[in-house]
Amino acid sequence: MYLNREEERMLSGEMGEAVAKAINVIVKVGEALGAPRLIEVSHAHVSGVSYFNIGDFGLEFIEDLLASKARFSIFTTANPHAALLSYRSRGFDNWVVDKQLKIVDALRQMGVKSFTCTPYYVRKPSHGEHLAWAESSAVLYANSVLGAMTNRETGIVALLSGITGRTYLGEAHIGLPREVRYVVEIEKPEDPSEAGAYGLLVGESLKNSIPLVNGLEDYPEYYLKEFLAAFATGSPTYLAVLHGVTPGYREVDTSSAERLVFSKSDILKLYSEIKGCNSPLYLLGCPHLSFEELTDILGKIEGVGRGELWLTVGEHYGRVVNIESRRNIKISPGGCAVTTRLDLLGVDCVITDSAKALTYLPKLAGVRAFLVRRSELLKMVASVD
Amino acid sequence: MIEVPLHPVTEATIAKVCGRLITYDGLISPLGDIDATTGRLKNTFTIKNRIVAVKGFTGSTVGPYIIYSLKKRGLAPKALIVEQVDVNAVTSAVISDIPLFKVDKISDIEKLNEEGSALVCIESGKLKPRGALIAIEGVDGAGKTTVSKHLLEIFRKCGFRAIYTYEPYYDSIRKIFENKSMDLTPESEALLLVADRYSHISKVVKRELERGGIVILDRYKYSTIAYQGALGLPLEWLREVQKYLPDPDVAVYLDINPVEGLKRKLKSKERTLTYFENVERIEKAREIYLDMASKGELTLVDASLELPIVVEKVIEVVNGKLGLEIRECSS
Repeated sequence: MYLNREEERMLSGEMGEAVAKAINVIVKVGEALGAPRLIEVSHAHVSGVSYFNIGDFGLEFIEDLLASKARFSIFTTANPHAALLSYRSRGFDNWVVDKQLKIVDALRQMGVKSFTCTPYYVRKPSHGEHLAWAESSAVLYANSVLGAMTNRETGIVALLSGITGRTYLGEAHIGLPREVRYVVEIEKPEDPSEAGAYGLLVGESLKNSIPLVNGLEDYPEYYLKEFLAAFATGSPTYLAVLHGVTPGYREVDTSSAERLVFSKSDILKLYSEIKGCNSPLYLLGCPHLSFEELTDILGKIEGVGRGELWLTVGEHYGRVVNIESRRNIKISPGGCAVTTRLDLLGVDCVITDSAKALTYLPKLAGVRAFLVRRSELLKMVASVD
Repeated sequence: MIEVPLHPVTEATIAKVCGRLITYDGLISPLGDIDATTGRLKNTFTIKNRIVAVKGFTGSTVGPYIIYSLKKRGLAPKALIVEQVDVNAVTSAVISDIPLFKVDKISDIEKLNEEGSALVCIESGKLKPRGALIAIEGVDGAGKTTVSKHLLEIFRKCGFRAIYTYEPYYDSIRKIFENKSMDLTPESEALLLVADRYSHISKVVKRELERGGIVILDRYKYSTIAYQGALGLPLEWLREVQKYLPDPDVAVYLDINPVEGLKRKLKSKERTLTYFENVERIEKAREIYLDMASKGELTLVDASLELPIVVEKVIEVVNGKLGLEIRECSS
């Protein structure tokens, strides 16, 4: 792989052991994937922060990096931690909380600015900007909505990119593909949840292919966010070209693409009947809510009668929203319910508007999950009492 | 010999790496498939110090953290071989400083492990079977056969490809000694035994080593040096005629007082002493054995101890010389 002079100096150890180790991993990963060179990035976003996800091994790796004096050299954000920091007394053993705090502290000492899965609400990258982001929903948002460029990084590579300011030049950094194999039509979603449901079906249907998607023009950005987060849950790719949204979408050739149509009847199967969910946890904020969404939701509900409503948001919003007076509503700034062992908190089932959460909650949080439209969820919450 | 070409993915920091081969024709997800406290893969063999060949890595991106943790605890493999190179495999290898290679087809490597896991080396871009030759030496009644067979059983229990063989190998040669069908002189005796040995090594032992197998040899070239040396033949000549024979990887000398040894033999079966079993001659052979042991050619194990202790000590020697840890499967 070609390295410029500065990168050679990093590799040789001139800039310290941690930088040398970090760039070595990125070079090797890049070489293995056939990348011709590295590329400078301006913002890294690290995944793999929840203690339930990375465990003692991840904690150890991050603490070793910190001990070797690793510091982020570019703007770096990180995924949310487990949603337990403000619920210390609720059932998690103290050692679990302490280990999660250690991960957060180590990353903060290395320079993480905020913990969230929506780093574009913390710092919005510009069109054509090169990034090293690891959270799949954020990767898709950056590439497909903002026209920024990022590989779908793994947590470790993003972490090391934050240290070096480099990643390998994958195809995401070259620009939009010249053509796509599939053009997807979706029937107008009437709720952000429906956008997510479409995203999940489209992602699962296309496997590794990048589609061009018609039908999401003129929607608020959080519809796009839900669609892309769920799309990334079903598909391993880094991009979905959104007609009318993705900068440069007009230049993508669709002349030989196969056309696929998804309608309301296709997504209905994801909205199964809610059964045996007597004291549910209502969850909004997967991916994290924008400030606009948060204020909108809080404008519609005063409190929750039975069960509890969790609103998961970026760490940076925690300081500006006061919900003390709202009964059974909890805001988890910088927390993620999906990567939290909710079963250990006695939660049995979760009702959410997120198709991404619907997929991951049973696997990661150990609970049953039901998908409902956001408008319905807010009605359910308000009507219980 | 089956040699499998490998392509280095990360530069190997060591020129040559040898060890026991573990193969798995599937994808492994380190989180879930590898026990990070013991290094066991899918609840079977440990991957510690092994050369691990798998189809590829899958699953959570936490995988590399687990390999890193294994490395820090001394439980990591010596080398990784994958058919499918992906970010997780590369990241695991680089952060843990484990050489990573790509193979065209994992099934090419699996062939080596068909009859138990092989001992192999990676050298000059190739995976080569290495095998191991273990010679068990000693005077009569020292327990060579018993110890060898225990060792064989342990290797097999541990999943290794292993065989037991002995010398003289060919019946026709053995019969010459038993039937005295030829007028033997010390020289002709030595040359018959050495001729038997060259053929045995070439036709039986080498073939097994080339498949990465472990060969446990009940008597080897040291026997000729000790026994025919005891008849007064110059040791240099006995070495000279055997100089094209390979050196064993492990050569154990089970030491026992010849009288004790012969008592054991007579006790074990109702039989009389054979041609070779003559106390005076054995005393002399023992002296030569002891001399070779003192020079480090053979590793001495006190064979007058209880059998389980002798076996354990032999295993210790084998583990040390071959860089293995076979004790774990011995119970």
